[in-house]
Order: sequence, then structure tokens, then C-alpha cells
Amino acid sequence: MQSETASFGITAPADTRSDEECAALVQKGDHEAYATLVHRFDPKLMRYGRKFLSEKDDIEDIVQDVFVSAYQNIKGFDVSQRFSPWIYRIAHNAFVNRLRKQKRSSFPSLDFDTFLAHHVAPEPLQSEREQAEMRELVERGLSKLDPKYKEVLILYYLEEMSYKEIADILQVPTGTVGIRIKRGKEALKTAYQDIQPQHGR
Amino acid sequence: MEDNHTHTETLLAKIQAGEIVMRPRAYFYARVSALVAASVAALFVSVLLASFIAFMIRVSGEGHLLRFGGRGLGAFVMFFPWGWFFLDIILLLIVQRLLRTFSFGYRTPVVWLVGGVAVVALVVGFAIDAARVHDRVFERIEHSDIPFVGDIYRFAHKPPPPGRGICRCVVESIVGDTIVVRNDDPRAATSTFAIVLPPGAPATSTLKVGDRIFVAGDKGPREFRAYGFNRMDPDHDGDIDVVPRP
Repeated sequence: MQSETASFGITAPADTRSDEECAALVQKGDHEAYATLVHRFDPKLMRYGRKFLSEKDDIEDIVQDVFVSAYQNIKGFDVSQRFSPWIYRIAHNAFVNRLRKQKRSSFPSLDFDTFLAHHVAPEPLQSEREQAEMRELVERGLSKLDPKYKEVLILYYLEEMSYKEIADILQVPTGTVGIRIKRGKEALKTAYQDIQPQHGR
Repeated sequence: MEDNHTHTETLLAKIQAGEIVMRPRAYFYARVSALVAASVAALFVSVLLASFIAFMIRVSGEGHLLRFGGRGLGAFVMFFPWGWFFLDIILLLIVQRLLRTFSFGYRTPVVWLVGGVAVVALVVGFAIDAARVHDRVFERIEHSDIPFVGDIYRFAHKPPPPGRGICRCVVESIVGDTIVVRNDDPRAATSTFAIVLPPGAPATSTLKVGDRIFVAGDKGPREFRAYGFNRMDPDHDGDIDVVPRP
């Protein structure tokens, strides 16, 4: 089968243009640049979707809808900003909408975390090993977590986004991201302690 | 994985074929302009409402209640135009909701954003009232039959409800600690009655016949026993003669 990149006459791995440069080209009508963006973000959004939704959901269809929506709205993207939080924002809305449609969501429409300013220092630099451990902990304990903590931990540890980028995706203050990561980690540790004795038996 | 490739292939082919098209840049400009216009309009109405609440409290004389101690404060809370106030709160919440669609809006904690918008509405609202904008509007429309707006302004200057313990009146005579007054509004239920001032009130030295006063007290069988009174200042409280509606 002919690869989708080949069908547009480009080779994705060789493309060294930044996401924002590609988005600027798409805005000018370059379809091949959009193919590059789709190839770059398809695996990331699929992974994000799998963490967010259950296996029963047709994640591929939702991610395809995200790319359709991103293409339709790309002229509203400010190329001086980072592309990644912009497309993750669209994906986040699509996933939350799916959860709400199926009434499986406990996403609050009014969240008190966003009411006050929280001063939370960014995470101190962790070693590769510590980060890997934390990623594993997040992967294993996610199902036990409240969705609002789950989403920040996915974005921070698994998608490796900064506080500011997560704030832009979730459209909440940066301090709220910090406090949710802190509380999410605490909840994760509690959940992990609950899991450990069961594993020991 | 193969399936996913087919999906992506189909999507890109649809884009190539022009079945999926980009929205024009004008659409996004129009959307942002509409949001900005809606935010400004909602903030403007909210400011206007805040200034109108300040105007109502001033011209009704109910602001004087704050100088009458604990009982006055209780009466002030009772007579406060809560309906208008809650309408303004709803507008402020709409403004903050609209502002949260912009990056500076969602990056700001809700309390700060609502607080900031409320401070702007209050400060500008009080400034509009201090500039006597509503007094001038009322003077212009009081003799006209403009529906709705005219009614709202006449409502702001309505006399206190009879028997509720407050009155706006004009001094007709002073005898010791008792003064005879008439209501300053021909729509009021009782036109002339006696007010017994609080013990030790320097009524004769501070009041004179013809003064407009604001009194709070208890209505007795023969007279009105005041626990607080204040002379109304035409410059501050407005000197508006209310014409009864035909």
C-alpha cells in the first residue's frame, strides 16, 4: 500500500519545518504541510485519547474529527503561538464532549480550583529515572483518579507539556494546573498504596 | 494501525478534493469582534445599572439610613433595590464568562476577574452618578410619556411605601421636638402628619420651615416617632419635583 505521505509527495521524517511553520503554510493553502502535521500529531492524539477515554470509544473517529476541525479552523490559529497546545485544546474538547454525551464524565462545569490564585512552584528538575518512575506510576494509577487530575497528569508526564501549555489547553489559570498536578500526585500515591497490598497478597 | 492509515488517507484525500474547506480568516475576525462587542455591551449595561442603583439610593434618600445606627442599617438592607442588584450581578457573571473566552480571561482566577469587573462597574457607576447623568435624564423625561425608561426613572423616585417606617417630607412647622411635615410627593398616602424627633435632637437649630428631610421611625397612632432624621441636600440628593402621572 502506498503511504499517505507519499501520496502527497513529501516524506514526513525528512521534514524539519516546525509545527508552526507547517501551520503557516497550511493557512496559505499548502495541503502537504497539513499531511505533515497529521502524521506528527496522529499518534500523539491517539495516545492522549486512549488515556482519556475507554477502549470502547472509537478513538480513531474522534481523532479524525479533531483533524477535520483543526483544518477548518486553522486560519484562526496564531502562528506566533505554539501549535501543539492549540490542537490538543481541540482534542481535549472533543474527548470531554464524548464523555459528556455518554454521561460518563464527572467534569464539573463550575470548578472551585479556578476561583483563586494558587502559587505553586514548578516541579523541580527530576532525573530521567525519576521521571520514568513517575510516568509509570501515572500509567498504572490513572483509572483510579478524578478526571480533572487525570488530564493534567497525562498532559504533564505523558505528553510532556509545560504548565503554561496545559493552562492553554484546559483554559484555566497556570496556578490551577500546578495545584491539580500536586493534588493529582498525592491522589496517585494514595491509590498506589491501596494497590500495593493487594498485589502483595 | 492499517485502519488508522486508511482513515488519515481518506481525510487528506477529502482535503485535497476540497470536500473539507478552511473557514476564512474573516470568520475568526468577525467572531472575535462579536465577542468583544458583546463583552463591552454587557459591561456598559452593568455599569449603567450600578450607576442607576446609586442614583436610586441617593434620590430616594435611603442612603441617609446608613447614618441612623443599627436600626438604620437594618432598614437600609430592607429597602435596598435587591432586584436591580441581582440583575447587575448576573450581568457581571455574563461579562466574566465572555472574558474567559480570551486568553487573559481564562489565565486570571475567577475571583480576581469577577472582582476586577465589579470594581470597574462600581467605580465607573458611582462616577456616572456623581456626574448627575441620571438626574439630567430624569429632568428631560419626567414630563414626557416615554414608555419603560420613563417608568423606571419614576420608580426610582417613588415615595417610600406607606407604613414602612421611613418618609421623605417637607417641614411645615416646628414646635419644640415635634415637627409637622407634609410628604414631598403628592402620590404618598398621608399628606400632613407630626413627627416627634429623638430626645435631644437639635431640631430647631438645624431645621427650618421648607426644609426637605428624610426621617426613619415608628408610626404611632397619633404621630411618627423618629429614631433618625437628616436634612436632604438638594445638591446631593437631587431636587426633583415629581409630577403625578395623569
